[in-house]
Amino acid sequence: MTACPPNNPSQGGTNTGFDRKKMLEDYADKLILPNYTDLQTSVNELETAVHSFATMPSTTTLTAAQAAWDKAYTAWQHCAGFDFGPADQPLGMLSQELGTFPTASNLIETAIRQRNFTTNNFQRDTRGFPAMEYLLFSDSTLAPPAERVVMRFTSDTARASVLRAMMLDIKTKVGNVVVIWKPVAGQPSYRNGFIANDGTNVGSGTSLLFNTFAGHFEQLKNFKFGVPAGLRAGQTRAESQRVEAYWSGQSLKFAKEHLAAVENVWAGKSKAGQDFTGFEEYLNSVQGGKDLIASTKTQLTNTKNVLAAIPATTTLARSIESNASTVNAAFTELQKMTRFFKSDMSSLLGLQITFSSSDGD
Amino acid sequence: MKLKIIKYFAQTSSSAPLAVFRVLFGAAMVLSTARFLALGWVREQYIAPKVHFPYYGFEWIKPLQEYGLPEASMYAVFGAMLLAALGIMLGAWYRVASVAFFLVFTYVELLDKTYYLNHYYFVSVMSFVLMLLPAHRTFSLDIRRKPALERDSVPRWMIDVVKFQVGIVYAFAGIAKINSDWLFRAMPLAIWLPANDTMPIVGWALRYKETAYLFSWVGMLFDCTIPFWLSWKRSRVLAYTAVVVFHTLTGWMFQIGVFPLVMCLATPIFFSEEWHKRVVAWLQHSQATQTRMSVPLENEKKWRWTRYILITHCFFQLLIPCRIWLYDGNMFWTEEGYRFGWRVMLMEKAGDATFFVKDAQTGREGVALNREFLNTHQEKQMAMQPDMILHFAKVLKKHYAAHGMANPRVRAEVYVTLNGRPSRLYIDSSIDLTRLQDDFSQKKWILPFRE
Repeated sequence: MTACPPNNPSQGGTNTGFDRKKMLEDYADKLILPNYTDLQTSVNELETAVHSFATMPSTTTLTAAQAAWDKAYTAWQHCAGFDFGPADQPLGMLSQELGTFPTASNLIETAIRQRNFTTNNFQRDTRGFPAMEYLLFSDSTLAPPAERVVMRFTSDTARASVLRAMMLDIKTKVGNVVVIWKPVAGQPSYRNGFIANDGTNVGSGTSLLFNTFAGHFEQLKNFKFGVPAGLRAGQTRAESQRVEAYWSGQSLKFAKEHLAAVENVWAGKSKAGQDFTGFEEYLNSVQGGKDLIASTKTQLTNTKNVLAAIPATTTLARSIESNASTVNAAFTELQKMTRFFKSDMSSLLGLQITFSSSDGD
Repeated sequence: MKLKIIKYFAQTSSSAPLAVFRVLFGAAMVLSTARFLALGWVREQYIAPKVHFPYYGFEWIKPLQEYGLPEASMYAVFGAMLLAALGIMLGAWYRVASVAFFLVFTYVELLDKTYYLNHYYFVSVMSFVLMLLPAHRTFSLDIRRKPALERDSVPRWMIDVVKFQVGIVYAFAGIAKINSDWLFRAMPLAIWLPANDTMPIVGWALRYKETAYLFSWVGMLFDCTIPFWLSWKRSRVLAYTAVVVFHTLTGWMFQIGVFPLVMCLATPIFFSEEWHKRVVAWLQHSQATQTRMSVPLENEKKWRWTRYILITHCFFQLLIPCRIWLYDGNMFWTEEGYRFGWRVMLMEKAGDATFFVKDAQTGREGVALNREFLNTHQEKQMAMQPDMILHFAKVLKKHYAAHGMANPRVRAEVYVTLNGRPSRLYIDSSIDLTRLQDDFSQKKWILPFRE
């Protein structure tokens, strides 16, 4: 016995349906793939700049490498939330491989001294963008800034080879992920599977995207604000040196970028601002969705406002030390957002988030 | 009346229904245990977690590795469960196997209430009933070993107690569905069905609000009345077809594990004696059972105590689900007395719990990272169940006290959404949870449910 779906399901009855396939297609083609492509492009540019600097360390080549790093790391903020499928790399998820901070600078210095640096281990805090930031920026905030970094590279050539090894590692891993995502005519690609798996169970495109979206948001709250501000249970003081991007001093800028990336996933909006069918539209189609959208938008505005209130003229680490209330306020507003992004959203959409059986009937 | 009762307990029945039930139940348990092992859930649920949520009064029951045994011993527990289930199915060393299965299964269930499922509770109570009954004295390997064991009749109440146990699952599940969210808001089906609209064949229909209403009402009527339709000879075939269709459909749509299989294999107990005899005959490759002399079970006296125990059991089975009505407030919101009551697939509930741990000496307060202590499933369940919230607060107190914090105080800001309503504050967020005791009295610190 087969039942034929009516051609026009909106005729008669209250169709609460939502085209998840279209949503996943939009996510893949208008957000995920373009963001990864941007990342790859900026990583390639970074590679060029890093090689020039490694070959001929000077303040000029250093400044260029630092700028290229900044650009690539900004692009990375918009990819770290897609931590599923191809992002599952042999030694860990891409977000851990490229984004673990704070960097274990002592391990890197030891490896340089002993000339045994490798990316083939589980010490993810010795590689990726944050580790490279350490090499390119460490002590450059002290006077005299850039010269000091350059001097360290000229005095020991092993430093340049470690930098090169880190670069190769980043490039390879990004490349691995992009090549699996990218559709090639006539061949199966992860993109197609992601779209085809349009249910709501664990492992479906929607569930994967939602889970990593929620996890990505929590990274911002817990590790970019909570821990450095000393707001974790058991911390006895703020630990400002644990901010993201400590050496470049750009923590706040990247945090804002991170929040923008989270909002883009939620609202279904490309990096360039083009709106598409995303979670917001999906929520709009289900019972109780409109209320949740309104609460989420209000809280997003509140969060942006408190982030804007943190002085941009100094580093986040210094704000934590001398202007803690502004940073604590950011954490509080992010905390208020959590339930809208996690439990409320998955509950209204009926998404499965664990593999275990639930109570049956 | 008294005479009627005496007469009832004197009635006998064919032992075939009990034997068939034993085989089917055993088979379901073999599959269920093997599946659990194959999915790697032994490690995920009972070895890997740092924290467990014990049941009230059973805090002393822990995974074996916490008693100092090697981790692999939890696998041995499941190995024993698998063997015991096989023993039940085949009727091999049945007395030992059935008692072992009950003990081992119940032990595992008592380890952590995160994983509480009504159907696991059903397995526990059903195996308790089964271990008291002589279900191995027809069509079993034990008879091969000791032919003298064989009997083909048992007191009728022994069949009826199994029917009772299966029947109340549906009855209470049906009664629980008579609530305004289920019937008049089609909740939670209005959330769950559209989420399954990519299912083959029927998926498209699940997008309609009307379908959710239809399923809600049909589901309620089905649960309330199915034991009767199964017992009545003229509706039996149709009723069992409905059971299979209903459970297959729900099993297909929702992530409910082996529950549909267990119920499909438990419900034939309502079929007639003749049907069961035919099944046994067919299983025995048509050995002509009718030609043998009918051998009844030993004298009634031997079974008197079993009867008393099972009557008491049935009495409690009727009372336990009703305790929920002793508590004030919305049962779905507070969940006080919610477990062990066959309230299955009744609500879409989710919470987000933030725990603040305060050093009473320095006054410094920080947020605990739940995932540092709990797995995804534990965190999800904990965030919407008051007794688990309380337990976790105490876990945090212990942890931070051990890490040098003087007299930690723990409060929690918990937001819960129920059946698609905007999330609301769930418990008093100012109260120090570590100073509360969990018990069966009304939890005053749960904030009242509001529309």
